[in-house]
Amino acid sequence: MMNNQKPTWKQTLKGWLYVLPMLIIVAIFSLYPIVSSLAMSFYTQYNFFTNQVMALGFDNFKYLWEDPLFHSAVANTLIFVVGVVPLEIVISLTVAVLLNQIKVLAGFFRTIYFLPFVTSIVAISMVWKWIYNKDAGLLNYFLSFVGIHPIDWLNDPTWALPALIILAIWKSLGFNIMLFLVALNNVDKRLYSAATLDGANAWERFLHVTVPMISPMTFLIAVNAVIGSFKVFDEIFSLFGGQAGPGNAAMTVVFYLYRMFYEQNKYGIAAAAGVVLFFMILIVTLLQTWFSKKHVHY
Amino acid sequence: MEVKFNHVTLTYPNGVEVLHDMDFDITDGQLVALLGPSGGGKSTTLNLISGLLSATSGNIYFGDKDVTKQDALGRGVGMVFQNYALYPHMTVLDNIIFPMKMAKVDKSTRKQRALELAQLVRVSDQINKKPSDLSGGQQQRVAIARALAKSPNILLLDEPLSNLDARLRVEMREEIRRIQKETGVTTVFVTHDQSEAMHVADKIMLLNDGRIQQYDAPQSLYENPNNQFVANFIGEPALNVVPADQFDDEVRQLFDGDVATIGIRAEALTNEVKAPAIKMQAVVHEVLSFGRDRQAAISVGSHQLVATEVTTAAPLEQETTLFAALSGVYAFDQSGQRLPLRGDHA
Repeated sequence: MMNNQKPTWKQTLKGWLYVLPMLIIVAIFSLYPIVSSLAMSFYTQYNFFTNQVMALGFDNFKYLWEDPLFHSAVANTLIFVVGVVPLEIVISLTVAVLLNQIKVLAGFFRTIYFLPFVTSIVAISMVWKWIYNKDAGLLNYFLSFVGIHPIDWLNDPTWALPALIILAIWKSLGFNIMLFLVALNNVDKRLYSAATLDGANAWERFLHVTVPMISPMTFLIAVNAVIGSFKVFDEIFSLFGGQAGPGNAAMTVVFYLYRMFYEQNKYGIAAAAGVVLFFMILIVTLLQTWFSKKHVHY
Repeated sequence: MEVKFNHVTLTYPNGVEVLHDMDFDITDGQLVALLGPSGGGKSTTLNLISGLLSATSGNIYFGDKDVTKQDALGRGVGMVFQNYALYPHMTVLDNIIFPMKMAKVDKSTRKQRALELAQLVRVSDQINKKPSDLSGGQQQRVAIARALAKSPNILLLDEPLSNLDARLRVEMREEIRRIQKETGVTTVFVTHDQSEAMHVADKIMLLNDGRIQQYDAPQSLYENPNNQFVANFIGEPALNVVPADQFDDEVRQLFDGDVATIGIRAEALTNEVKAPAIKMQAVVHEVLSFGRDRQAAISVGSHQLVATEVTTAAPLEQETTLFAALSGVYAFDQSGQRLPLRGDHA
């Protein structure tokens, strides 16, 4: 068959047929819900069960603009993202680099670190509830060695968000370490020999060879971590027993959305919160992509 | 800088000795080729010079300084890796600058020096490109410039031409020679290609089985091989080896010692007498011409020989008298050591 001919109608049709199965699934389960939730965010009077729209407008967004709970949900979400993502990347990269240096037991440690990823978040939260316990918890026990008084992690509004951040970082490590290990293994070892001969010490080799060479993976992990952190919900739900922390101290945008939708049946407001979240993620991801153009080397 | 190996051996942790009693001098400013088959110890020797491997016994000197215990950085060697190992995320200029940046050379000096080096290796018009945008030959040039950037005591090249296509190979081997002569830096390169070594090097060290077979000027290696391995390895087509009993006593008496095999260079076999030669009865099967080259298939007794100087005038498929010029005939004893001509003791 010639490749330089213009496709005929028959060939074009055939091409579309190949894409069709996936296209149908995407259209029904992704595109349609996205479009309808966008539409729903403008429904100010709406019967969810009969799908009757009585009135349209910007009232839902106005409500969010004025609701202090939504403000604190946005603020908490941003604090959570800023608290989790950088630490998550730095810690998992450090552990991956260390793990990459050892030959013995590397597989054993990889498995250990990977466990949080395969364990149910509900079970993990049970364990952390105990770790965070004010009187019997492991964390306060260790902190007592450095002279810090017991902190009521789960019931003190000041500490609820930090407790959540610690849990989220810990939970994400396993998978990110795995991804970093893959990237580290793919760096051409001869570059390290060359850099050593060029007079670079271990830190300079890390900075000038490792960091740029694994930057595509770092970018992937960062984007993934940002999106995941913006959507944080299940950790809160299971750690604080279905609540958004003491006095809504761990209220995030998705938790707010959940509460509006399932508990208060304010479907339009929930949809509007979703739209706001969508644009928050979009802006940050665009910023990351712009940044990556300069600093990620493929 | 002069490099001196003083009875150096290398034993791997598993107890296998891979290099035996390496004892040689590389004269300052020379271009030396480490030549030999795979597994012969060329790259290992190179790594011993570089300091990437350290000797099990013996001493290594750079000039008067004992560098046996020093690592690669301390010895100040510049190295060009087989795959060049250029930093893919840096531009050509940044690649060349990198060693100077690590050595904390100030910014304007290192840039100026990098530009000079880019000029020397002729990549001045490519300095803002990434390595992946360059051809193999250009990458090689950049790798050489980077290795030269820290003004190394000695420049080491590991199979520098093996990743290039045939035409580039010829071009780059001339370039390596030019750059070496212009900078005057003592240079050692590894190759398994004898013609590469013969064309470029001032001296060739032929290695096999972790031993130096011969360390000599290229022409001496060809004209005056120490042993059967050297005679066999150097020269294209390969040496014709015939058991001594195919020849009469008269021929064997020419050499001093117990002749086991006789080697005849393909280019020494001819059907026209020119120089002092031994006569032999042979059958010419065919004579092929390839451009300026000729190749004839010959048999002596049951042995197949290749000759390049048999003309198309030779009668085919019948017993003929051929001559083997004495300068291209070597006799070896049982162990493969070369036997001198009788009365030719130096």
